[in-house]
Amino acid sequence: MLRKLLKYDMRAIWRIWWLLGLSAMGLSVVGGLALRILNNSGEQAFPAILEVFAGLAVFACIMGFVAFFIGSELLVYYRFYKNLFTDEGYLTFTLPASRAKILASKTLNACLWLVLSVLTLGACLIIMLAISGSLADFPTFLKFFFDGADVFSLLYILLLAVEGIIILLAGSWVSVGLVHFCITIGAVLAKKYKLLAAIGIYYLLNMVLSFVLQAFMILGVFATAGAIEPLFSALSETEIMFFIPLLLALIAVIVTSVALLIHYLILGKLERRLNLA
Amino acid sequence: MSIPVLQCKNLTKAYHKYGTPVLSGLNVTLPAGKIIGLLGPNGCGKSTLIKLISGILVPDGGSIEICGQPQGEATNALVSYLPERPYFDPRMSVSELIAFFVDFYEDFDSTRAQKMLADMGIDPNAKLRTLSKGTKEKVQLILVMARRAKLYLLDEPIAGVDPAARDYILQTIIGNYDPEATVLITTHLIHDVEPILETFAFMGYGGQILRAGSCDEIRAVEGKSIDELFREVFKCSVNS
Repeated sequence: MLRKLLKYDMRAIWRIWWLLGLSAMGLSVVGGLALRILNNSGEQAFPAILEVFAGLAVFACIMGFVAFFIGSELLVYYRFYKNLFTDEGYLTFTLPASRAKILASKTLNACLWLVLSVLTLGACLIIMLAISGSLADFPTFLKFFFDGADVFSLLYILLLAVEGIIILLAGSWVSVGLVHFCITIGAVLAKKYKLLAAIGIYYLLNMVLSFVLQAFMILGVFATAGAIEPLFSALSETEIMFFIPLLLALIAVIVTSVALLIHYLILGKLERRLNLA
Repeated sequence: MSIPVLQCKNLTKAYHKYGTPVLSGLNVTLPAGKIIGLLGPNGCGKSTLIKLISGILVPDGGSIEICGQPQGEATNALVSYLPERPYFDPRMSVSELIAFFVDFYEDFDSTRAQKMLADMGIDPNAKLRTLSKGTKEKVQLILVMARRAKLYLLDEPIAGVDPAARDYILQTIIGNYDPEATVLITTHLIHDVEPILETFAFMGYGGQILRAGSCDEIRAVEGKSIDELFREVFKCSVNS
């Protein structure tokens, strides 16, 4: 059932997303050409007015990429809202699927599109840099980077990369979960202006979270002042090499736990408090 | 004794924590193979009861069993629910909706759906947003009735369509339901629906069943139509 739910969720987003993705790719070509003009500006190969336009085009491209990312996110969150908390909920919640599966499908869908949007942006940047000629030295850099590496170093880098990816995925889950949580609370609390309530709750929650995180960071800096450096100097190079993956693993566990907590909070609201009018 | 299609015990529901409950300790048992009219004045809790049975609302107390199973994921596969409002994604076409129903409901009969669409002259390739309100309601009814469900919940199925289409819709309901299944219909248009009803239940405020029985029996014994009886019962309850 989860597979079917996910299929329809992904298909619904794809209907519009492919246009956004294609536009972003188109922009990257324009941006690449503009960057090429700017890269050659010192050689007076192009008239000054063209360079001004090229600068503006690069700026517009970057704004376009931002718009693409925000647009992709809005598409996914709007589907979550519309599918669960408007009249479409009459269909969603009467399907032979538990609310846990429905939420899992929405969360997976949102995370997949978030990752896909980031990958598309990455591809856009590579296209842009490749067209502008800025990637010419990249193969030399890679050769330099990997030539001196032994098997152990490569495995170590691979471990760090895997941990980094896990943290990124769990982080995406947290960010998706937070938005879903705010939409759910908005829909449960407000009868009329559900979206407005969700936006208000999101801003409030972000404010509180950033305040708490900053407070923790400041307290952390004061509490550990003077303790970090001696700790690291007491450790040997090998010990530090073991310490970094351990630290990353700990971060991955914390982020995943936060994501799970948010997920179950949303599910609790959907299972016990959701009443479509 | 056969398992009832629906059994609600002490069902309670209030929309506000400290407000008056819409349903208060309601007990309902529906046998298999009946077309039942759930009739009552506005705000008495008919739609609330249907939404609770379909899983749209969460009860505050009591239990709901469908074919002997507690309301949930498994019972959603046995219940075919028609809400009183449009509930499909307007960007989808009718044929996409049929594919959606085929995917999710094992009991969905797409041949039956295609036949009903052809009978009503609805283009399967039309996007829902291009259809009129009445046609959208017909599409919804077709999809709901094309399932071979155990319990059909029809909330105001003919309210939004023209009188000419009502007869066809009522014929669709009688012609397409399995004799082993039960159809529960709520409506204000009692006169239109009466010919297809076998059993009725009058629901008063607070979700109490004031009167229930066989439609034929009422007509034979009391010499009244269900419409006339409804007016009599609810006139009395307003005055008392």
